[in-house]
Amino acid sequence: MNAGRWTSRSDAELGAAVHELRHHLSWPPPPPVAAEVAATIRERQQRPPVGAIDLSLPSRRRTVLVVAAVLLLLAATAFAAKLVLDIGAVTVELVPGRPTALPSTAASGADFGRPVSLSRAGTIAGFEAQVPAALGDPDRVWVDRAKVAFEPARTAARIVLAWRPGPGLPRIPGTDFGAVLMQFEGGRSSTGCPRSGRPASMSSGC
Amino acid sequence: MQGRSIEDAELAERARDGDVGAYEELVTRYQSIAYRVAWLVARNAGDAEDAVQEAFVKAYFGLPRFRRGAPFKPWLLRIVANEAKNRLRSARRREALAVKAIATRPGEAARSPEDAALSRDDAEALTEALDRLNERDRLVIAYRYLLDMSEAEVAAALGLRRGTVKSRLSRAMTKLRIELGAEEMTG
Repeated sequence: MNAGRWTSRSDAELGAAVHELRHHLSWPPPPPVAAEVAATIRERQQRPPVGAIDLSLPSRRRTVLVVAAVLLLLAATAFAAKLVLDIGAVTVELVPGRPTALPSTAASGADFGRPVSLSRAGTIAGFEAQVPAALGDPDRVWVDRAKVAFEPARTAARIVLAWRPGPGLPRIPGTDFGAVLMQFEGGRSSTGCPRSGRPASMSSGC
Repeated sequence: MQGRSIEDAELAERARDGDVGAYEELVTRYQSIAYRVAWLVARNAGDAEDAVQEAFVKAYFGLPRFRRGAPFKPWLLRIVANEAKNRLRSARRREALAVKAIATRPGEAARSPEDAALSRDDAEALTEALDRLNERDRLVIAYRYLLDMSEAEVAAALGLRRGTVKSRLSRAMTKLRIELGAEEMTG
């Protein structure tokens, strides 16, 4: 290559070369997103305005601040290790003890909504799912809308995370998973506790 | 292009009135260039896809703030670039610009260097030099030359005055030339 071949070019000449370069670049193929975008828009349009959902208990008990929901299914068999899931706003602490009764329809996946990636789940639901560091990235993610506790006429966005069985996380009987965690969008009652803005996975007091 | 702009405006107007189908048409129309912009900023296919989807959704709900009669594409691309920037902190691997395996298009006659046709070596040198620019310089060059946008569109997409675009582009081209010169020295 001749010395100064590029450096002697004017902006216009260099611009023409870059313009030509567009035919040579190997662009990643664009994903078809139109249908997904339209579906996400329609889902969000069904959502009540921000702030309209109040998931607090009707009794306005001070102890209940954040009501989302949790379904953390543990195997009925020996779960020897104490497991602590710190998800930021709430710490879930599970201590070995009596086996937890399992719902008969547990964790098939079919009832959890649309399978999506973790990042897409946040986009669709309108909030970012909190992932317990102890479990790492989930193996499966779903998103849908679920009825609000005590107010069946209302729905809230729900993200469901599931992890496959592994060391210290035995398989939940009748499922392919070792743990399933649901997170819901939600507001809070105005009973004087600090704002968090994060979804949570179980009731919490202050 | 004028007819296309009118169509965009009509679709945007219908979308603003709640016609999601009209908006879906706009998405189909601009998803390719939106993805390229997102990829140029985020440098990762997954981040770019996420950014594009979120940007299109945000743009839909932002349509009430979209000025009637304004060009839709640069307004959209500004949202896309911002969404892509928001994903730069993700841990995903950053990918580099790459030249196709076959540098010349099928059936294309060989052209002299004066015709500005690029050899594979030239294309690779330019690509690597563009890769080394910072995101701001790379984006203004990409908008203007790789994505074939007018100065007015670049200005709208970057939220700058046209005069500022000219000066920013000139500085970016100088940096590109310096990078290419460095390659010549080492190559």
